[in-house]
Amino acid sequence: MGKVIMTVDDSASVRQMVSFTLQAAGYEVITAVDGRDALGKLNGQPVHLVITDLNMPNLDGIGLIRQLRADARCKFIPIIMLTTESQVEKKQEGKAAGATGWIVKPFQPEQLVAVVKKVLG
Amino acid sequence: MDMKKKVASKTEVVTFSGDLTIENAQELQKILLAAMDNAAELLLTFENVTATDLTFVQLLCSAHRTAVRSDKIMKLASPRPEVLMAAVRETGFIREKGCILDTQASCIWKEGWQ
Amino acid sequence: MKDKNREAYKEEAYELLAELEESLLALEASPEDEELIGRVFRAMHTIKGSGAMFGFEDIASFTHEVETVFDLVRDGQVRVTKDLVDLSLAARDEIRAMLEGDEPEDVHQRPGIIAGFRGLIPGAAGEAGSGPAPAPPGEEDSWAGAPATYRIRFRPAADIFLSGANPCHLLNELRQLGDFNVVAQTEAIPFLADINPERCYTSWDLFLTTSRGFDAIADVFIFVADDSELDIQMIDDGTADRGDYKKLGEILVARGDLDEDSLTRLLAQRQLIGEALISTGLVSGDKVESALVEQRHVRAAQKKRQENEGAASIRVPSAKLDKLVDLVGELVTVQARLSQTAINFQDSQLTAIAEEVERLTGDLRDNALNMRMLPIGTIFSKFQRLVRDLSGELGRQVGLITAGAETELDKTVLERLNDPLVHLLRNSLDHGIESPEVRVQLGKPARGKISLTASHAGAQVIIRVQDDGRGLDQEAIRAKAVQLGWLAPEVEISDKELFSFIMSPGFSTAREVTSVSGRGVGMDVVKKAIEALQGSIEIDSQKGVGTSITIKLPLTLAIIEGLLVTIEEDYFVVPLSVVTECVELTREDVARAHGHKMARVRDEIVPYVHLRERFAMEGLPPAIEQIVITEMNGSKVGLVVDQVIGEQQTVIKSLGRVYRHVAGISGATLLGDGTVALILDAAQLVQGQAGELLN
Repeated sequence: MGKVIMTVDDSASVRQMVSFTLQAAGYEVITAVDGRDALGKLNGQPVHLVITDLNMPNLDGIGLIRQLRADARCKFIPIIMLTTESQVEKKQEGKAAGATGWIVKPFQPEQLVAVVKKVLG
Repeated sequence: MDMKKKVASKTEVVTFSGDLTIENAQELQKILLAAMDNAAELLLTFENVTATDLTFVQLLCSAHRTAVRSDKIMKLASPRPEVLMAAVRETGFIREKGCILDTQASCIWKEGWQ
Repeated sequence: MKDKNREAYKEEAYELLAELEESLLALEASPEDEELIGRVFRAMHTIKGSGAMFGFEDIASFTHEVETVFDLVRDGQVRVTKDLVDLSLAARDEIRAMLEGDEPEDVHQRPGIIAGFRGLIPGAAGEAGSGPAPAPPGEEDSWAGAPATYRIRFRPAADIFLSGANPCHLLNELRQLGDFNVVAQTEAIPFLADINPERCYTSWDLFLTTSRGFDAIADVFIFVADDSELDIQMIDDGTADRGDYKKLGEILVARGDLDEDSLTRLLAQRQLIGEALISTGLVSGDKVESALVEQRHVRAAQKKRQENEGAASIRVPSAKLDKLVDLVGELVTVQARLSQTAINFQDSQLTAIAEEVERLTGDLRDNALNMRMLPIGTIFSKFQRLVRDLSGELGRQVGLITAGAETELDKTVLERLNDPLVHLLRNSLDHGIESPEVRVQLGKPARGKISLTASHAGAQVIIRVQDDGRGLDQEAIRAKAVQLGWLAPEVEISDKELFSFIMSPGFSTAREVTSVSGRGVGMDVVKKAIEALQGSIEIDSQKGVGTSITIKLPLTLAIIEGLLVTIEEDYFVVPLSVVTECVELTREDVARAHGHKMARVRDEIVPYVHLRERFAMEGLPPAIEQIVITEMNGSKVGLVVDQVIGEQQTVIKSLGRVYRHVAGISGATLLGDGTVALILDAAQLVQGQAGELLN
């Protein structure tokens, strides 16, 4: 299959955990450190799924989701946001911006894979 | 995605290939509309279809309704691509009887999907 | 992989802390700088979020307090002051200390910092503290019940595709939960000129037969539920026996697609109802199609269930099974007599018949006993609930893991095993597993673990209850045993022996001991119950790490392997499961022991019970007696008898009411020639001896 997933997070440890887990599950992973970095790296490269943190410098998760949805190539791809328990309004905001789903931090590798399988089919 | 049109007597043949998915849905709609304008009989055929989804299944249903309403005939050729057969089965479109709009009793969801 | 993640987190956290210090100091100089405030917030947010993910729950919950305040600073509700910067710097140092894993000398600083931050929140002071995020739902929620059938009506939002969701994936996910049928409702699909091909016009009626329950279905729709119309109804609970589900018209009425009056009118027309409905336009073709599929789906599910039940099992009252086992037991006895007689007659024809009967009887016995075997999982599932409820009550976070649910045990054993296991689990929860706060401080995961496993080992079943709680305190138990006079202060004994004290009656009645020893009262009751099942129980524990309790049980109570022995003219049976060996006891041995009932066996001093004396039997013992060495709970005790005959399959008969409570006798059996042999209760016989041993 070779589905490509982009993970966007300013935390290096989360990026590592996410990419390690997804690679082990057979996906190809691209990482980005914030929204701006993500948009730069997406240029010209098709991805099947984006997993993004919400709190990031430069361009935060909500902003990234809005820009992705405005881009014809990313209009319909699934986008998963990583939220924390305390960010209920953020979750709503993210959904309104066009996020497909969310994972509440902290999460286990198995939960991550389950959600990815859920939205990628 | 790549479409070919061919007029064989009064039957317009439209051949679909490539990704019949939401990314191309607006284009697919235009092709079906144009074909419907051109002929009284429409035959949809498939070649090298790589992917499809619910939006294309909806379009087929919509096209058939439109054809029936304007007294035209729309048929789907066989064999049909496996990805399309699977999408129709998985989304539950297969019917024993056509819907109330199907006055010709020519519902496209009755045969050829199993 | 886990350690690698933890290391990566630490490294990152150190970097963030360094950056944090810098930002905080800069913030003091320019307290209005939003960029700086954002940086501080993000650093705290990442330290918290990732910390919780990689097992640093203490850091996560502590940092949460700081993050909460900086979130308010970001919103302009709290101003940056010198106090806030001081407090934040102190918090930063505290996080660093936690990262390094050494508790600062002054642990009281932490609550002070937390209180300081809470005090900064306008309005409710100290209210905002919401501890660490609750543990994610564990695998224990996937308890499977009987399969039920659900009707799910799902109408996604028209713009569902714009959120990246694909309804087909959801349908496929449901398909994996069980038997699944899907009918698309297409009425809303517009004509080609009017359709917006990027919108979803389809809704669905879905039929699912699954044992995973309502929540598993709702979970599938978790991301789309807010924007979709979703209705999940159980339409068959999986218990109805009949194979005739509702009629088509009734289904439509039940769904609200048709009113009852119209149905009655239609039925009067004596037309095929489906045709009539569509031709009159009362109900759309899609809806009729859906109702037809529902009818077919439920009927198929019911039929499958019936077939399964019909083919796989028939119900028999357990009393009938007990009677069967009883009869088989008697047959085994008669067969033994037949074999004995055949040997005496030395008739080859009779011997051949006797051998055949012996073989058949053996098979019959195994089969009959097998019928009463039940998988232990039937009681396991109840324990999930027990642990869940109890842990809530006691303020613990505990996951129960079970394994070996398929292990089979005799029904009667299983029934009597329930209470002891409940007791052990309760003990683990109450006295073993620490509160989440304490666990986090000890560096254990907040969520404790209890595992309950069953497995076969030969003719025995091993059941183990294991927790990762505080373990038993050897010193406390030792001190208590010495205080009770059960143990001389200078005597060295193994941990196993030491732990077995807590199962002696009278040991753990004192409340303060139970709290230090980490076990509740009533272990003596558990031990008695297990021994009544011809089983044994052993405790293993390491302070701070956890406790493991191992129960060994015979597969069945109806027939045991026994060692047949005699005293005078009388026969006795010792359960073979407790016998380790037999040795001789001569008059000289007895003389050498100077009146102590002790024998030297392989360089070990073993106390013994002289059964002839114990049962006050007349006559003189033979010159050479036999000691049957038994081992229970790690200690050996001998039983002295006249003669050891050999191994014997023993069908246990319970004693009459008058004899039932005779100490040291647990039952009786019939020998091949019809003689009665009493079955010795080794545990009870030995118990009296343990006290004497010390004096």
